Amino acid sequence: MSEKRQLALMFAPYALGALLLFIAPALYSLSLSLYDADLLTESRFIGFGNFAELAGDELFHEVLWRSALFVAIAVPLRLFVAVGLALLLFRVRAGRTAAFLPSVVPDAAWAAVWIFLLNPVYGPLNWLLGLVGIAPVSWFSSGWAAFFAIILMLAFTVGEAFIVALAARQELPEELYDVARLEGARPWYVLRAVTLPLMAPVLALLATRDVAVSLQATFTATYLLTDGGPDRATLLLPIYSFDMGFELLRYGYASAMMLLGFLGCLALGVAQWFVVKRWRLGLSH
Amino acid sequence: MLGASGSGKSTLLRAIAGLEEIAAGRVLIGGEDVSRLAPARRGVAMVFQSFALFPHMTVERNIAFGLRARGESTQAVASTAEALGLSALLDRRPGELSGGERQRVALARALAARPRVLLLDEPLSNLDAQLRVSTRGEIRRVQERTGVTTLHVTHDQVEALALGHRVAVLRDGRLEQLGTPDEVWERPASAWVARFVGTPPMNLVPGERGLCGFRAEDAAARVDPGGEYVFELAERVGADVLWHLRRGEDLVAVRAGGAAPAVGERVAVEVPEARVRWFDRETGRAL
Repeated sequence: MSEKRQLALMFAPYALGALLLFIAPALYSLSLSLYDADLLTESRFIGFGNFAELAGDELFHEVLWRSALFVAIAVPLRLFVAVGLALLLFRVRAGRTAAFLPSVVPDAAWAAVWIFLLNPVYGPLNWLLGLVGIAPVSWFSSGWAAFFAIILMLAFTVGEAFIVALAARQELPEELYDVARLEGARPWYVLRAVTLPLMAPVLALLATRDVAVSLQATFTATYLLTDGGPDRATLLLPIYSFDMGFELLRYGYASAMMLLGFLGCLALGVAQWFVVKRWRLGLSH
Repeated sequence: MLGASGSGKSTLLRAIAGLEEIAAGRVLIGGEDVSRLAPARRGVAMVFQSFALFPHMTVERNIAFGLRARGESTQAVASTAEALGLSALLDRRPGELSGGERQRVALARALAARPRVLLLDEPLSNLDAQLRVSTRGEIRRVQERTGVTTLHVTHDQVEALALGHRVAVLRDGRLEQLGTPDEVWERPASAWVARFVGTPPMNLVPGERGLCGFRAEDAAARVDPGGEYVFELAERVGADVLWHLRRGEDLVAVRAGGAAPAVGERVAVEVPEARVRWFDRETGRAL
């Protein structure tokens, strides 16, 4: 057997899986967005009708803005935690596992943990706040508290970004830091002038990826913790479209919504690719 | 500082810079004990083998890195760049420079801080052979113009003898000899130094007073049926042709005496008594 055939054969299981489990459903969903479909009765082709309806759906606009706000707070926070942990644990091995651990906890279990942590009556978080004189917060009944609780919960599941940032830091030549020591540069200056600029391409990649990842990662936990409530305070795009599809059986409408979300992430990704390409040109040897 | 790889010369340089902690002993600079001082407070600057330039910074930013980090004036950058012929390259990034240009940027950055001691860690090893010779001259001119005490680490004995006012020969972390290039060449402190310095290395053969050492160019060889040596091969090394001869177990290389004889022919070798160096057979120390 030729080498090409061997490679094709080895690649085949993945290609088949990707086709059946990802590409085909994605294309199906893409086509659904042009139909009025409840998957019980016969679907009706309505062209861009779903998109037209989305344009006038005020609830959708509200969800979109809330999702944008969520991303604007959660992504920098998650990146800060991941990169901060990576830089702290770069010279120390101890603690690396702990930094990664929350990311391997199943979403449902993670949500269960936080239901306990955030319990308004006997939860440890309110107890901690009480120690510094802050009155108990009703995490599940106050809108903004729930919104930030969701963000807080996601600030810990940054294991993958942590590993990537750690690897990026390890790639930086140690001699640059010898130079910094010899020249008397303070740690803060080195961080600002050397470490972060050199890690910038990786950080940009992580940031763009996290726009999609943080929205997806929030789904299971948010669904179990608040189910979008109270009063829509944590209703983000994935939950809204899930409700639309699987609760209200408006699959076409839900697909159109996710397609827009996908295009948004794609646009961000392409923009980032151009930025990083310019950086790389400046950095290459 | 001359030594084979693994002899500890880079470690010594890093210990002087304060990048490596010393377990015992002291580091004195101008009589002042700097052993407990942070690297930045020792007044040393270093050029690394890899040049260690910041890839995302322009040449100007690289040269001024230390000055900016300490919040000092960057006025001196222009003149330092000028002196090293970098004025036209100030807006470039290291990725756009040749190896020799990067080397000069690293040197300029080290000099910008006006150090008391300049440490060069194999600064020529990343350059190709031709550039190495011209850069070697450049380092020497910079040293002479600035007058800065310079410690230059190399594994290349030609480079060490060409550049150094004094040469320290290191072997397995110990100082084998410290002397002028002439002393190291003429009077090696040990048989090991005699073999390490010189291409070809000094010939060492057993004699009546110990190991008899002599350099190829000091020996006169001629074809002689009664000679002690057997001719093996002739080899051109630069301006000289060397004859490789054998006497029992011992091999020597000497400057050719006329047309090469046939393999196996007998050759006599004579060395003026004044050019012979004797070494202890057991310890290898010079006698």
